[in-house]
Amino acid sequence: MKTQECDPQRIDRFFAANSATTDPVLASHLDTCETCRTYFDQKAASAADWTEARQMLSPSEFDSASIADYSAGGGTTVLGGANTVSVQEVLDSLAPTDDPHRLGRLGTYEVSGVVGVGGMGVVLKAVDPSLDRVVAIKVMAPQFANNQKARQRFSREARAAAAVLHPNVIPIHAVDDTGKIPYLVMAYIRGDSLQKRLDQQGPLELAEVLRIGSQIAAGLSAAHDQGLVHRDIKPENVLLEGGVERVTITDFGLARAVDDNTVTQAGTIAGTPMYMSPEQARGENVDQSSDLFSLGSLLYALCTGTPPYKADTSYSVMRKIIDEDPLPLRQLHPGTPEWMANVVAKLMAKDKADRFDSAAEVHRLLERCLNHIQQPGVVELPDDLRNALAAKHLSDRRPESQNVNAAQQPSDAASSNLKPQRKFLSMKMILALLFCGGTAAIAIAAALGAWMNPNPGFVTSTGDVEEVHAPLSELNSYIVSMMTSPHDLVYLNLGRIGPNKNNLSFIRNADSLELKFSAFPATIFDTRQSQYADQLKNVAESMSLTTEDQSTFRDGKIAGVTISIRFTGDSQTVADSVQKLVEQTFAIDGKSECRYGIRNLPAEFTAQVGAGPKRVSAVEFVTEHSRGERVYFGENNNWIFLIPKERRTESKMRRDEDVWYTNINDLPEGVAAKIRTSFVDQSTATEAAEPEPELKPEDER
Amino acid sequence: MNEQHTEFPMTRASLLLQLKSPDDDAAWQDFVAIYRPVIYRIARKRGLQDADAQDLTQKVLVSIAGAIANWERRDESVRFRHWLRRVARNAIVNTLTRKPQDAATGGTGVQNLLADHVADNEPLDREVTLEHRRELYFRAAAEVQAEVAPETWQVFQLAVVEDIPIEDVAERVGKSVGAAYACRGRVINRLRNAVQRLEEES
Repeated sequence: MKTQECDPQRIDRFFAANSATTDPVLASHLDTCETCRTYFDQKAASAADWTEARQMLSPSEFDSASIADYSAGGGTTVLGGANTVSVQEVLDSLAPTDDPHRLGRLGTYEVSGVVGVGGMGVVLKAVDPSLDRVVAIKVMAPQFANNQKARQRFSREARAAAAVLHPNVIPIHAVDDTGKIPYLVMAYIRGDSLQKRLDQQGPLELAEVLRIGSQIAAGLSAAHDQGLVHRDIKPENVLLEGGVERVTITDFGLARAVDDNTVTQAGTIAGTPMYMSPEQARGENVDQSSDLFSLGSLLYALCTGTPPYKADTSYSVMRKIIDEDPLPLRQLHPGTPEWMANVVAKLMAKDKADRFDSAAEVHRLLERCLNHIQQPGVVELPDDLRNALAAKHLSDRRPESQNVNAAQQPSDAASSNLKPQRKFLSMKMILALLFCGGTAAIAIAAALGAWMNPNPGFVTSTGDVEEVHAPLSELNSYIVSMMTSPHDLVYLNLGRIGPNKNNLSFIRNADSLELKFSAFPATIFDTRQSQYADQLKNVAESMSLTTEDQSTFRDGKIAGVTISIRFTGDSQTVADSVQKLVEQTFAIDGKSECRYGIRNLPAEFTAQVGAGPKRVSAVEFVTEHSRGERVYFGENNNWIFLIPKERRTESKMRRDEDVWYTNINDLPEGVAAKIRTSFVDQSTATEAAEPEPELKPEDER
Repeated sequence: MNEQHTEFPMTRASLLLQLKSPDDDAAWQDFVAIYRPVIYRIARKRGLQDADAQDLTQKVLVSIAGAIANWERRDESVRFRHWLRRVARNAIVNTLTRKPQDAATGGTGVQNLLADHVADNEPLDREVTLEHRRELYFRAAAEVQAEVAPETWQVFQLAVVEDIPIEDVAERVGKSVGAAYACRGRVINRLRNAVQRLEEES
């Protein structure tokens, strides 16, 4: 019989036909002949084809659920249904219990309720009868329990979390991954999640942010020491134990050992991507520093009440995380000191290498900051933060220089909020300004506003307004944030509309928001101003808003008019109305760049620069003139000036961007002294140039 | 099963008007059937949830459909399906890598999505190629599975996809080892041929 002999041609024919008919002779020969098996396999497909087929058809995580509906084939490993976890299914799977108050029994645990539903399972509340303690049991959803990969992941979570023993990491009491449905038993924490706290209270106090942040960092540090990455640090996963201010990190659902390569991409489908790191969003390898990024995002949310990256869909969020910097923290929440914003920014550095080295380092840093806040006189800010602040102020103007003076500036002055101070320009100064000629028009406009409408809302010379450049479309969010946080949007400058700059001022009342717009067509202003005023009133009335106008008289004649419009309702409604009103009145679109004046931003101090207030750090102020670029010009009635050297001989000084001045009382302690000292050095050079009378703004008080 | 690709919710009539020949129409239908799951999977791998991934898939497909109007067969050598592939690749890379375009400059920024000057993104390029290939395999597998006996397919599934030793597979399905070899070889051979054919078609 030839059947047991090798017959390569038979194999060739088999594949040439490759029909449905079988070839029992060939089959039985293959039962024993190694050589023909090899030849057979080679004829069937090349080695590369075999490998590729295996790779391509191996079930990937995304073949499950809806992909099965989309893909033409390959649906051999469809998991049960969609990704929603059925609580009922879990409950149905429980063993019956004798206790009528219980829902069922799981192992020896008596289940009394459902705590929550997560991505892969349900969390139950139960009693451990042997120790008579309440526990939380995380049960894997039944539809995943049959999936080997999912089970692996679940077990890994359990092992990972159980290995970490730390007061800020949830304790794991037991794991059972042998039964039909795996589960893990954790401590039951009475208290709310950080997310709930955020939802209820909005931004947290700085001390609380630091306290929570340092505890999370401590817990992470313990996990990282075990080689674990949490991968999903977010406010929902941080519990605040009721009463006791202890923070517990939960849900190591996505945690994986860094060296565990068995499930490579698993876990990137976290519930919310808002706290994801850029490398996670890109689907790249994730390590401990990713947790630091997420911690940074979380701190940002605690400081501002809103996560750093928001968008309608998770992919837009992820794209933002990869591509964009978040809105500067202090723009959203001016009460946050600069050093804190710096810490958050460093945590949230796009490049891993730019973040802190370890969670332990972050823990120490935040703890020190907390001590500083609690005992400002006793504990200083960590050196790194102080130096960074000083260096930043320096580098803003002069990146290459090392200025000793600057480094010595007390950063605490920089970090403490300025007490809100309001100073109004005196009549004399306004009149003086009026003679200063065309370039001072802006200042005049501002000054007039203050004079005509001595309402604290109309700003020019208050010492604490920060100007932010942003498109008009941001107005909406500024209004919302103004109505929900301690800072005020004071004015909106619409910039180049018509020959004059157009200022709208905002005043927050207890139950409403008031918008004011002033027009002075009879004076130096273009008649366009009054057209805008009319238009504003018309649009407001068409929107059924309450309007009021008030004429201003000077020397018995009408000098101008101020339109006030009152908005009521919730912050979003108000913001939407304001946005609509402004856009329609001035017929400009959201992209136009405007200037927003925002008050109560903590910062160094405000100097008057040309048209209006400019934030200047004390360091910057001193450095600027000690370098000789600006010369201390005079000190008269508490006003001090910095004027560029080359202009100090001008007989009529123009008040423009190059001239800085401020009230000496606005300067942080020590700065004035420093200026006086350096003034002595330069006084011989500048004595000749005593201030022109027109230049002196006098403080009335 | 192959009826699924007619579900593309773009107004078919308007779309078909843009296509210049019945061949092109067929090419488009095939294209959507293959690329919808490709885009979807890539999106899922980047962490998107089901609904978001579907949104994104839709967005890319709509942008490609919108571009059909621009397609002119200037050069007979550029086949519609080849052109589609290039456009798809650009759209995927751009959607997933580019910053959001200024929304005010014209709705969806379709042209931006399809722009030829695509960000260089090799990993993503490879991913598109890989997922495209995977989709061809899925389709080929569905074809072959329908042609062969269920046990034959099972042998292949266990021995190749799940990588179980052939002796164990044989025992499990109650066949001799040689018969299992034959089954496995038959399937991979057909599969390979089917993939090759699909690759040429697309």
